[in-house]
Amino acid sequence: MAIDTKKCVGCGDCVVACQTENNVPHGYCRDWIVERVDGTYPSLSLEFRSERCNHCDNSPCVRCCPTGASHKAEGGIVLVTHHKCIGCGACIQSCPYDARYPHPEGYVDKCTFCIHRVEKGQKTACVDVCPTHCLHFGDLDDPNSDVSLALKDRKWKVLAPEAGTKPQLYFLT
Amino acid sequence: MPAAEPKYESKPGWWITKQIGERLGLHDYFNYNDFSEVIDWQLKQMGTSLEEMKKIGVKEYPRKSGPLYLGEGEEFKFNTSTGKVELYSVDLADEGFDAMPVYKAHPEPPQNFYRLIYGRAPMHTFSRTSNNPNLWDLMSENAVWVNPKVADLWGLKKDQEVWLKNQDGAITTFPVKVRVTERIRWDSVYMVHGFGHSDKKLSRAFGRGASDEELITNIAVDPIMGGTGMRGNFITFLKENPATERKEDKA
Repeated sequence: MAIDTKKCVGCGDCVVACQTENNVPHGYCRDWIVERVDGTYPSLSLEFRSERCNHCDNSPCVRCCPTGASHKAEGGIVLVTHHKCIGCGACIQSCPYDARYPHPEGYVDKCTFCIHRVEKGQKTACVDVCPTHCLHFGDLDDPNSDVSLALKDRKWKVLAPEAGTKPQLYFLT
Repeated sequence: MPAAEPKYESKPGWWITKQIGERLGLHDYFNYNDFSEVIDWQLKQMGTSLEEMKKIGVKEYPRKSGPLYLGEGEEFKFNTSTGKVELYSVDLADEGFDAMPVYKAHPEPPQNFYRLIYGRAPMHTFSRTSNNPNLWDLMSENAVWVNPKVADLWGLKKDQEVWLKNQDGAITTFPVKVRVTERIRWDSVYMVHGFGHSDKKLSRAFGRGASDEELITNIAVDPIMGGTGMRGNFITFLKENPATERKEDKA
């Protein structure tokens, strides 16, 4: 997924869309907004980021899961099989992006890239509702996918590259 | 034809209006069982019907007032006394106003006061969504944005609760948390509108943040076109609860 930080206004529609689509209990979220201000008035720069699980290629949460509940699905999406999860929270500790939360029903929950929608050829809920169209989703191996086209002519960065997890959220700057 | 089925006890606006109207004995004004009957009647006045519009969605009629845009080189007179686009307005001059805008310095905040700027947050719509559970999760209260220089001067810390008092002595009912940020200049403060609800039935929003409306007692009116300006109010910070002070005074 690519997130255009120049277009995001931080409205949080992606957060509410996700909570509604995925029945996320109140007080928790699978995606969230970060606002970053640099400089001093009046020379300021402002960045809004819609953040979620980075679906890392080298995912510490999958590696540290003692039961195999955390796994990587075909296509690279990192998922948790709820009935296999014992709620130990090792993955929560291991995630450099703080992308997981303990669901009150006893398992760990996180962004699924709306796999249930993607499998039907739909966009993820957050991408679908974004009023500024700042989110681009798709197959990075396909040069014509939304995400590949978005990354083609723009500068981008990933978060916490030093963690070495090969994150798959790209922030257009 | 709702896009999503209504949840819980939510009712359409027309239904609520009709119920209130009938209880006020205004049956004659609500002579329908369903609002689709009204929409159908309105559409029939235009030569279509609800049934047809459900099928086609959009209906085009030929323009009666000629083409929408001017042709190339076509003569045209604007509806002004000179018939031109008026940068210098003869009409305004005749009425004794400035024919062109003349800069007038706006009032500056007095010592220890700051201009109150209010605005919106992208997740909320005015004050009416502040009790919505999902949106409350995103933003449950407003803050008063203060430049770091002003915070230093007053010894204000992030998330410290303050009451705000304006130039006319109006004080917020509820305290508001301080947000120290470079995103506001040092002669002004900023608040998101729509918080500080005083109705306890708004179980989540009650008493969360402060209301900018309580501080907007000075409303500037443009003498030419009547437009209103509500950002000409100045506030100062009260670090102690003014309500307890008031009680002590009485005792």
